[in-house]
Amino acid sequence: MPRLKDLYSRYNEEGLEIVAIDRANDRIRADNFIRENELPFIFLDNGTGDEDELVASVFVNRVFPTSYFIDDEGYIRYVHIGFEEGDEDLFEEELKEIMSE
Amino acid sequence: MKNGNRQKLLLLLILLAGVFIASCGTGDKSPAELQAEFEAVYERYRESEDPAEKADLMDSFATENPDAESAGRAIGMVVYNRFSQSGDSEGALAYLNEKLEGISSPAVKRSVNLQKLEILAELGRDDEFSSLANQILDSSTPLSPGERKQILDSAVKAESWDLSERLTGILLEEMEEDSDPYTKSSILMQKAWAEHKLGRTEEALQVFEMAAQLAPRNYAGYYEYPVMELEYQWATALLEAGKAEEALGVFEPRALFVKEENKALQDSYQALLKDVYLEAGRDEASFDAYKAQRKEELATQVPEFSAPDAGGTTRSFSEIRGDEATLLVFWFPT
Repeated sequence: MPRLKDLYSRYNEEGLEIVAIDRANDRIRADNFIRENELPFIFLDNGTGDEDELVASVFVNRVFPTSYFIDDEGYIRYVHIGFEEGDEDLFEEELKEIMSE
Repeated sequence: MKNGNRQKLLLLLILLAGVFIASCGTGDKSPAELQAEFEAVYERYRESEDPAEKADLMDSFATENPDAESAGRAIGMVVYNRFSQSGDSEGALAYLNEKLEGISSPAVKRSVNLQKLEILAELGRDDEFSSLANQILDSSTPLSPGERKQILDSAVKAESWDLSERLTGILLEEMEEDSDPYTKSSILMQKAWAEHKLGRTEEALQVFEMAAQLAPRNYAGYYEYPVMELEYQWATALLEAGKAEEALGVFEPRALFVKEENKALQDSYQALLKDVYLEAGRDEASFDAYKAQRKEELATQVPEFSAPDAGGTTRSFSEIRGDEATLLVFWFPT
């Protein structure tokens, strides 16, 4: 997650937003992590229970981290399962492609 | 010595022998003390970021307490941190063999043998794999479903399809009606793949469909853990059955949208997509245009949702998404 800071700082003004949903539902741990790493993204709670939980009820997501690149019309354009060193470059390529349309 | 005294002495000796056997390999610690000791070591393990230190911590515990209930788990963590991350399967095998020599507890021995099975599968040592797998399966101590699943995963890795089919059959029979559908789906998928590999592709295709019904595609259109290989295996079987068009339908969402962490897997998906596309009678020159067009047709739109942000204010997706692009990340703070 901290490796996305550079991407955010360079493209936020051009229209990129990063939204992170905490699957662990661990508010204290998440807050500490965000503060220690000075993360500027929007953080959302996952919610709890079958109906409120975003991960389970909306996205049916079971692998973490998973990242979705979404275009200006709300369509998913790329999905990343896991996050490896160097993936930032791939994210940037995909972002440029989405923004150029 | 009088008969009564002799009996008492014999009884005492038997008692002492029992205490010795019970404490063998664990000193004189009780199971609760051993568990507490393991948990203390595990806390230090979690705090450390150095794989070598993590491995040393767990190795010390397993060496000092070879028959403790947690010794098998500790040994597994040594294997992971000292060998698996560097791909040193030979080193892992030598380590497991060395540890096995010091273990008396049948339960710990089995736990370590299950790990050894996985390493033998990785190394492609087919004869040793079959011999150990049969030894475990024929043992008088009953196997738990989790242990059977562990053997099954190793059998798949070893490409031991007869054994895979046998184990999936047993696991499915043992499953309750209300078992976790994802677990059931995963076993069905392994059954289907084994049947396909054994040349019974038509039966395999039916089983793949059953697996897919139990663990439906996620929101973005692909199958998640524990059936993330489903599309690849199902499409391969369909392709080999001459049903390339159907294979495309199964395979497209994952191949077109998903970037796998495992690059080799990613490459194999891309290669399979092209094979399936060409087999469906399409023209190689139109492959890139086809991909772009299908990506547009298959893209799913994120539904509106709302959730509290870090300050407790409820935010809706339409309100917070970027004007040009949004990266939505599902994460675990670590």
